[in-house]
Amino acid sequence: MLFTTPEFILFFTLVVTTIIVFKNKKFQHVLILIASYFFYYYSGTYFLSLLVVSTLIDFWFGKLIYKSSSTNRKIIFSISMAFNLGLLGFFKYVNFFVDQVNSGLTSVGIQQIEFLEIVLPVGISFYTFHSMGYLIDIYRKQITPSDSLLDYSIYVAFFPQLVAGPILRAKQFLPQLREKINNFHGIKQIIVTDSNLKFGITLMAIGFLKKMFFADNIAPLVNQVFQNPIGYDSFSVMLATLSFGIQIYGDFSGYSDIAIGAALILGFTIPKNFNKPFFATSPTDFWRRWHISLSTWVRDYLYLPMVFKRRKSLSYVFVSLLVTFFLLGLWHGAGWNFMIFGLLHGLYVGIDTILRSKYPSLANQRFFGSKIGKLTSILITQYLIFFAFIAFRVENFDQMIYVMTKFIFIDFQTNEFFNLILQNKVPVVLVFTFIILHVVAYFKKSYLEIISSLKIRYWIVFLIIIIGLIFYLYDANPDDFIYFKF
Amino acid sequence: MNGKIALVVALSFMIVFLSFIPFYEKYRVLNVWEINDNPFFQKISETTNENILIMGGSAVGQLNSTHINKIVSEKFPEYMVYNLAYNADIPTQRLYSLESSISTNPKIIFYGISFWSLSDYYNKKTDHGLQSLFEINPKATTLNAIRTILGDETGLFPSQKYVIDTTPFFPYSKDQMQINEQSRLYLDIKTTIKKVHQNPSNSEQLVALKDTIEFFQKNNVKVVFFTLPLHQSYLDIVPENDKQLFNETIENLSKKYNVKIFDFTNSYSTQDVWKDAYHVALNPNSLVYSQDISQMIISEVP
Repeated sequence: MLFTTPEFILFFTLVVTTIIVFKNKKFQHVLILIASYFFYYYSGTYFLSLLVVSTLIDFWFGKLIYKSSSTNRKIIFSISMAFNLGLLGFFKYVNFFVDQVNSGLTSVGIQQIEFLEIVLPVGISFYTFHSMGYLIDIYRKQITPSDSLLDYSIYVAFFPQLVAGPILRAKQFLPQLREKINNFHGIKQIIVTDSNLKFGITLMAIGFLKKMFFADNIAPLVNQVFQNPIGYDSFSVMLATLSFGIQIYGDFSGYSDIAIGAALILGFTIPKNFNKPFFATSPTDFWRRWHISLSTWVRDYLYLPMVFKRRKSLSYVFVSLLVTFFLLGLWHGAGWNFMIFGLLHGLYVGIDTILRSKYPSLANQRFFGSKIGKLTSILITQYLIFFAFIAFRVENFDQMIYVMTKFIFIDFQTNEFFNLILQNKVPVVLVFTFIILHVVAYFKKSYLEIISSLKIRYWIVFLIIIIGLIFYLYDANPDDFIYFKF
Repeated sequence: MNGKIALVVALSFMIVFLSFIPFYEKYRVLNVWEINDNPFFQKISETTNENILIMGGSAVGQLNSTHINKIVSEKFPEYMVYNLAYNADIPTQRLYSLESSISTNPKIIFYGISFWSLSDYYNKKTDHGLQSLFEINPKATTLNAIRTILGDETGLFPSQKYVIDTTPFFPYSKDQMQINEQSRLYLDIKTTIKKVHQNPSNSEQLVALKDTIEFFQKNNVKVVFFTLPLHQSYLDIVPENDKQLFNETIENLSKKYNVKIFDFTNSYSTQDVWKDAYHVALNPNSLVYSQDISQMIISEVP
């Protein structure tokens, strides 16, 4: 079920209304779980059984890890990780692996292996990471396993974030399902408060605007160039890359806003997933602002354990960063382009980390503290980030080499560029509108609070403008959310 | 207060939707297949020519009807060929304009079809979000309004389309005339494979095509099919099974209704005549397509 369909609006309204009307705590929690499973079933049909089975097994693993002695603990933990990674690997990477093996077999004249007829279950990368985070935290003794299968099932399947994140942490989410009543942690009453409802709707409206007004309407320009970029001049390639960066940001951060807003209406706090990433002043800073729930997950559960014992060796840190970002790229999809996307970011962050370690005084230079210095840092960082987006978007290796070459070695041709602008007036206007609004939002950090605290008579004007913008430019054939396929 | 917020949200939706109704009435873009009431049909029915109609989608629209008429009239001066192609034609949509087409007293109908014409991809779907609820495209309406309001006055949105009298429903623009390098003929493989998927037992298009044949034959109009030319890159990605099913289906149609089929599928598959992988360019250097269609017409004139 897409957030942008009338079905979701109807579904969500029904869930919220039922929760407001029926105050029974147990009923409310069961309803959220049933609603989440229905939401998933509507998105991915028979894969619901996979979600339920993996939830049951991981719940059981959690208990087992917690109860086991230290030797057994390690073994059980390893098995649980193998189970989750195996599940993810099988559905997401097995055919990619077969494809690579076949390439090798063809070159030596051996018969090819047949591809498996499997479809990627929607959101598997997200809910597997939920479960793995939960099990790792138990193994590290940072949390105790949940006593309630219902709580754990809601944590894994909570519908606002089930299919495209943000990736939740058990220690942040599970306590929100409970409240202290007479020294006992009982089921928490779900109350839809006025402030949460208004703020949540405001956030959802902004999310819809990012996805349906900006991302969907910028997509035609991006698709036109990237469906076959060979032959386009440098400025066209740069405009399309800039547009793609904005499209994917609008798409994914829009989804996150809707998810966070919907969760907030139901009384749950989900940490934000984006924080003005296009104002990052370094590649490291970028990953503190872009897909925060994934980057912090990878940092806490993969990178930090990897470098913990050898963090003073710069070469080891550099290699660890490369490996971490390579895997982060691979998480996005089974394709060489995603690996290259990850490796490029690994390279950026690795070099950034080494420079900061070797020349610590560099960051304190007066230039970097000045406005010009900061602007220069932002522009250089964004050039690198958008360069890496090329690998994310292209459809084959030849195209990637062509587009990257045009991005670096500017040819100063303009014929195709002006044609592209003339053919895509609406997307171009939206790209520049987005940039202006993004700058305004950067300087007016509390704009969401300001909007949601407006008096009702002004707030309705905000809603009419947002709904109007979305509806009047609503494309009858929108693209799916890009992150749905991960 | 919860109720008040909900009411405000509902009210906002209502205001936006209600404001759209008069806007839509004024600026709505006609669906391409809504040609039934077009004065063209009345005009043609009043002429004394013997009329021949060509039907199909954009690949048929790329035919040069002026050139075809020139060739045909050399042999049959009393005949006039009209190209009734419109963008993205499929048989279920063509049904809407059969009555108007027959009002022109045509002698022969030539219908250009290809793999996508009979695909089950175009069976009525509900998964189109708001579109399925309202059967409208707000963006197209808004853009049309912008063009109408700003276009002529400011020159920001000038009409770059040209209409030829004998191809009334398929306006041309410059990019349709461009022959592109064969290496640049890109295809979205996944979408293409979906769009050519054949399922004769569950194809609303096949039923509509049969209805079309029966309608014309009942009115004593000869029907001839021709398969549309495709570039090799397109042919390479159509699954063999779908090719076979499509060929079997049209052969069966041919036998059942005694309809002749001319096959142009592979005719220019490796030649430099393509605008994209499934449209021959409308260009002086790609007239071979229109010439071949002219010869087909000449061979069928009684």
